[in-house]
Amino acid sequence: MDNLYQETIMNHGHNPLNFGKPKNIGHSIEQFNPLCGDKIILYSTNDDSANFMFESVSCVICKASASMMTMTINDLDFNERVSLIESIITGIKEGNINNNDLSKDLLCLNQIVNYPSRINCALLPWQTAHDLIRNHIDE
Amino acid sequence: MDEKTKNPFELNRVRENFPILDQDINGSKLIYFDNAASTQKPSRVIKSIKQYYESDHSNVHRGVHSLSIRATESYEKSRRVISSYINAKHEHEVIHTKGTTEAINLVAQSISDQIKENDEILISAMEHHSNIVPWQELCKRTGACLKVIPINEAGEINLDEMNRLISSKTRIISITHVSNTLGTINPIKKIINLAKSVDALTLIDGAQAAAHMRIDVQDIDCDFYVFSGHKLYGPTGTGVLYGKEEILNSLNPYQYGGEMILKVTFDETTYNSLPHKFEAGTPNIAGAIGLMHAIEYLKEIDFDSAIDHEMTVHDYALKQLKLLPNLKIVGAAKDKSSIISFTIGELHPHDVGTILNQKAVAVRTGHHCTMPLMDFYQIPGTIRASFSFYNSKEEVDVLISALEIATEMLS
Repeated sequence: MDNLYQETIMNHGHNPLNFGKPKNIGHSIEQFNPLCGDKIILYSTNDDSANFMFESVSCVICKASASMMTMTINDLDFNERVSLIESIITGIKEGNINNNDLSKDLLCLNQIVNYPSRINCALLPWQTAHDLIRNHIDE
Repeated sequence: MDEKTKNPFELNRVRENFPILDQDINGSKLIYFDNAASTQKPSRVIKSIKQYYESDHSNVHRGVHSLSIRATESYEKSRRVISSYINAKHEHEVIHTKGTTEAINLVAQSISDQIKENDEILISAMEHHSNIVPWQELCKRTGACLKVIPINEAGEINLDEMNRLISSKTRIISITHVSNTLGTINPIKKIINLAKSVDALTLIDGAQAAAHMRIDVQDIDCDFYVFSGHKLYGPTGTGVLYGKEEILNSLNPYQYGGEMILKVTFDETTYNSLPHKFEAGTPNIAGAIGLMHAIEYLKEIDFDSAIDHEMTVHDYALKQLKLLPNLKIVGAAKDKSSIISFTIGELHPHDVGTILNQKAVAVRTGHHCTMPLMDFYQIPGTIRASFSFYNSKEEVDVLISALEIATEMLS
């Protein structure tokens, strides 16, 4: 249990990065986890950075995952985002995130695989980001 | 119930009848407070299914050999036992289904021809999705209108508003007997009387009632009463649609195929009579037999004493939960069953549920398939503890202690 609600998750969950609604919204997407009703709204800014911000009514795991997702994505070149998101989605499902170039915070998501009922909580922000990019930004 | 077979309620003896309870989860003894989702099964039920497959299995009806005769007798005996349990007037008013959801869908599909544009169907604001969506779809198909009876903050149906909503256009009123999220016991006899005043049909969703109170469909005088076997200590994939004979006869079949026919030619088919008209295909024979044994088990242990004990545990839990800081009970109806929903400050129910599981306490968290009810209370979900007669006050103490730990960890 301590492995799941560890300090990194709790810090991101209680004080999420990039939480809120940007003034210059480029695109936005709202998604739900139908199993538990968690909701996330993901925004990209309407400028060259296309930074991601989010709002959510969700559990600690989902919020922390969204915080880490925006933190990671916003540092990346636009073209790198999709492949990273896809690799993290696989990493969360298999518990094998090990990219040395990324923040070590992401490694705590490797614990989620031990809590099968919570995997969707962690995946929701990443899948939402994937859909936002696929549906809008790369048009 | 047969008075001779009754035994006084003894918690320890009863718990021994449920082998699943005797196990550790994450190093602690399992505490199962998720009974509104599904109850556990007594050995009698488990053994009956094994016995059926080892000794009696064949397809039911039409067979002339011994196994088919035995299987048919047991399957039909199950119908008799269920019929007696809910005091149906006729055995053939009991239709085996795979659960409450299928029973409601059966009615909502089969009644389509009787519903026309601008007819109205009434449900309440506390319904489970399975008592909302089938009616929404019926309305889409027919042009009828779905109306929702509001509830008050305590989670009770507003009968004055219901009086205002009901009219000669009202064709069906479909209401839950007991709210799966709040535990509210609805005044269904009053609701049914109101329905009768405008000749509306009534369906009572008894999914959360059948295991927690005596059901007498003739006394209630509803047109349909539905419930699931797996919430009544029986197997999954079993359930019941009770309907008054005359009304069931007026419905179209739900599915078409074997069992439900009398005569088939390539030009025309004549349908079978009740109950077979609604039981197309090979039924869940083992499940029906298991459900029969679940009901027989409830007779053995003395149902009334068991429910008295269950409510004692519920009342104790309610009292102890209210002592926890920032804990808010969701739903405070005067008339309640053994279900308690609550929130703790801003803590998300899923996080709390995961930590409770680490302490071997099984509760359900989330919207409980009542999203409109969550919208009414403006919350994403609740933590729900739901009790059975096999639970104890000592288990409640562990829940309280685990909630204190969860609150500390997550705050």
